[in-house]
Amino acid sequence: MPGIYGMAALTILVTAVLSISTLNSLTHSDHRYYGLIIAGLPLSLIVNRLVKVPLINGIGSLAGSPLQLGPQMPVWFIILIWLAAPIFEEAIKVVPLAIPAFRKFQHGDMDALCAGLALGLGFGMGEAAYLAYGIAQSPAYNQLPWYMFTGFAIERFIVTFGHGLMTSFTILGFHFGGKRAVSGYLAAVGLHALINLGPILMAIKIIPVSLASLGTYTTLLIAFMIFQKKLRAFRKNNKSKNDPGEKVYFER
Amino acid sequence: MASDQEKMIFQPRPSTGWIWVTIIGLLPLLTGIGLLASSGFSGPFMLTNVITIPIGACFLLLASFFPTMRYEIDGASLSMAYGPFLRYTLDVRQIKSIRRSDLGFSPISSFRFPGLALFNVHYPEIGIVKMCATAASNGILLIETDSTKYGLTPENEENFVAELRKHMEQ
Repeated sequence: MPGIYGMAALTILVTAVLSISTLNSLTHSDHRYYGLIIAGLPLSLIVNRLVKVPLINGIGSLAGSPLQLGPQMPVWFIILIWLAAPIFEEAIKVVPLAIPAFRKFQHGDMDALCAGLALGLGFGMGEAAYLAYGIAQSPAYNQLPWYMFTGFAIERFIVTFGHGLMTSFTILGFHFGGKRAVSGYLAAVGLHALINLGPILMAIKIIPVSLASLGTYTTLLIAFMIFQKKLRAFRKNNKSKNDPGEKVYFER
Repeated sequence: MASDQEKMIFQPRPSTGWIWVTIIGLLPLLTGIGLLASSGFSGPFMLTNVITIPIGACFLLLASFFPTMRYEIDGASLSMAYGPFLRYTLDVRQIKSIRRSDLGFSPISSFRFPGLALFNVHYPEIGIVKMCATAASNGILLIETDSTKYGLTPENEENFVAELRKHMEQ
C-alpha cells in the first residue's frame, strides 16, 4: 500500500481531533455541528470529479492547450485554472445548508460562523483524502514510505483550517442575506484565490517555493485575524445571563 | 483542592490544550526523523534536523507537564506553576484588580494555543500578560498588580477568588 495513505490517515485523524476540539470550544460542545463536518467530507471529491476536472479538460481540449500547468500554457487558461478552484469549491461548500436539517444553523450570527467553519473543516479533510489518492497514483511517489510525506501532512493540516475560515465568511454572508451573501461568497473566493496564487506562480516558474508558501500562509493568517475579529464582535453581542463575559471581582 | 495548613492548591480548568502542543511538537519531530531516516547524518538536511528535532522534542516535553499546572495560595503569596518551566509568585496585598475577561488575539508570537497559554502573551488593549492558563482567550481570570498582569483559569473560579480575597484581607 502506498505510504501516502498512512500519512493521510494520520493527518486526517489529527485534524479531526483538533477540529472537534475547536468546534467544541466555540459552540460549548454542541454536537450538531459534527453533522456539518461529515456533510463536508465528500464535497471535494464531487467538485473535482464532476466539475473542475471535466471543465478544465474540456476547455483545454477545445483550445488545443497542453493540460500540464507550466509556462507554455496560454495565460487565459492559467487564469481559468487559478480561479476554478476558488469559484467552484467555495460554491459547493454551502450546498449542504440547503438540507432542511442544516438550515437552522443560519438563524444566528455565531451559528452561521461556526457552521461555515465546520463545513470547511469537513471539506478540507475530504480534500486531504482525495489528494492522497491522486498522489498514490503517481509512480514517482507511490513507493515512498509514509514518513516522507510530512510536508503533505503539515500543508493539509493548515489548509484544512483555512477552508474552515473561508467557508465561515460565505455562510456568514448568507446568514445576513442580500448583497452581503454575494460579498461573503466573493470574499471567500478572493481569499482562496490569493492562497492558491503562490502555488500557481510557482508551477509556471515565476517564483520559488519559499515565496509561494509565504504568500499562502500570510493570507491564511489574515483570514484567521478577520475570523477572530468577527468572533469577538459576535460574542460581545451575544452575551447572556449565564455567560456574562467580563466580570469584575475586585478593584482597588 | 487540597490544603496543607494555610496552603491552598487549586487545579486549572480542564482543557485539551496538551493535544495541540503535542501535535505541534510531533510535526517538526516527525519531519526531522523522516529526513534523518532518508538522508542519514551526512545528508543535506542535517541543519534542518538540528533545528526541527529539538524544537519538536521541547514542545512534547512541555505538553507532558500539562497535568502539573496548579495555583497555590500560601499566606500572603499566590503562586502559579507549570512543571519546572514556569513559576510566577506575587504578594496578594499588591493585587489591585481581579476580573474575568474574554481576551482578543494578537499576531505577535507567543506560547498560546487553544486550551493552553504560558509565559508572556501579548493581548490587544491590555498588553503583556504573564499566562499560566488552560485557555488562550476565553474566560481568563486577570489578576493585576501595579507592574504586572497575570492570566489564570482556576477550575472553581468563585472559590479561588473567595480564598484569594480572604488572604488579601489578612
